[in-house]
Amino acid sequence: MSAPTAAGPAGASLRRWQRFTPAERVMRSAFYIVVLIAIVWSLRSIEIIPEFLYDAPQQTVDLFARMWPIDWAWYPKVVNAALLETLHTATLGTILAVAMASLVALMVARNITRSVVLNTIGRFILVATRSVHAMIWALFFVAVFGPGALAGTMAIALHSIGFTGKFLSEAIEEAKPGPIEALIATGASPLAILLKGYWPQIKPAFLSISMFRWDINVRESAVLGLVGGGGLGMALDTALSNLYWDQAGSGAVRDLCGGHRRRGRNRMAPVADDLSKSATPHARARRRSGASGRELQPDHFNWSATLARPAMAHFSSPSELDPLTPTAPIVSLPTLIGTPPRSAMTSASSRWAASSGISVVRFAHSALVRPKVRAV
Amino acid sequence: MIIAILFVKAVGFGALAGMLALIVASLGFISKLVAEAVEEMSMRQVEAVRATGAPFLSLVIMGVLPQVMPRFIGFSAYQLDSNLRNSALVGLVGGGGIGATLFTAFQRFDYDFVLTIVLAIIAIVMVGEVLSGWMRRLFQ
Repeated sequence: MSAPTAAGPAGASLRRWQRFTPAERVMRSAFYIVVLIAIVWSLRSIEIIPEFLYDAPQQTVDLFARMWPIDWAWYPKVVNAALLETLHTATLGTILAVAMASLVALMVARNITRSVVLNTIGRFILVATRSVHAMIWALFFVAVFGPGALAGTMAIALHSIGFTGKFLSEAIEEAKPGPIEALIATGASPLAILLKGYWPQIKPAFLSISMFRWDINVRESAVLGLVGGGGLGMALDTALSNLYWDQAGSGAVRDLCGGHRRRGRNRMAPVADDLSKSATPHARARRRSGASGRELQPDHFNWSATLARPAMAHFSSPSELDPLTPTAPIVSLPTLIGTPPRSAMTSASSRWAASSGISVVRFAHSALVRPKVRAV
Repeated sequence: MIIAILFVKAVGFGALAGMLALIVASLGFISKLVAEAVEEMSMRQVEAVRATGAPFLSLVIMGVLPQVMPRFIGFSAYQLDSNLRNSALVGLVGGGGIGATLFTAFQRFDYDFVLTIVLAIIAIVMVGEVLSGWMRRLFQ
């Protein structure tokens, strides 16, 4: 970046022009070194398993081959309702978020709240809600409210507070003091000042921020179902869990038919291999349960959804939503990985959705209290 | 998120899939903003470099890059910020990293552990914000 150029008449004392001061140059070099270190460090810590890379093209071709033709038949049955639920989740979430964010924004705006402590608290709320992703909020609310659109709505609402509140408070701070002072001079009450002084000034910003956030929320709520937040993501999750990529393409859920079953069986072996090669503890646990399951229930283990579910598959409950989708069989006896925490014993007996899927981690107690588990 | 699922299918579980998903997701964003920055820059310096008969590569390095570098760094800093957040997310669908740990902890109802992870994520996001602010100031 620094470009030393010799300027000045030849023979005279050579003056060197430099774009940056030495301190700046040191900082910049430090920055480049830090970036280099970060890249090398990241590359070393990311496990790249070459075997997985070799067959990536085949896997991708396989994926798209199975996505086509799109399974439109299930659009009216499942996707339409899920889509509406997603839209409603986003809308309701945005309204809630805007309502809560308005209060926080008033707290953060320095020209309205003149207390530094309150400003800081408000700012912390904004940052904290923003840095936890909607997905993680959804995990929380699924635990609190149980799976469904309510959890998704609350997740959307809480995550949006940070964004909406930040921009709203900036809009409030930018409001012109003239009208406010005029109102104060008439002896208006604080509420009147807010409604007649600030509101007309921030109204356009308020509306555009809300609409923008709604736009983002529609996108986000579509994937919230993956962790149990209801809506389109739930349908997508069910399709993905069953490895029905053509339905994932149309976002639909379909019951098992013979053809799909056969295709699933053929594909079971490579997926199981992938899992057993994978070195994460999660996958190792799956492998362990899978290995014992193969001997116990060979027929059901062939079913494609048994092992090769995406990691979050437990969170949605496809069998309750769509009775045509068979519940995945339990492939193994209870496997304890480590000591289950105290909370596990009680939570598993309540309304956690984990019961419908196949779980790698099965606690001995939870199997007794869950009525929905189907014996195979 | 959806891209992450596709990549998990393509290259298997693990951080590689998450990384690829983040790359694809960031690609459009960064390239769009950089393209805008390049369109807005002044052509005079580019013409000056071209007048010296420089080849295309030097044209880009000497004429274009110095002008867009600060904004490029700015976008990268912003994207680093949001990728820090998103990388916790891709773990949920099998993209590895702290998201996977978080998910496992959730499945085990190990909520005290979950809180630790969430606080760690918030902390790392805040550190990331400080870092990206430093980056931006360095190149402004």
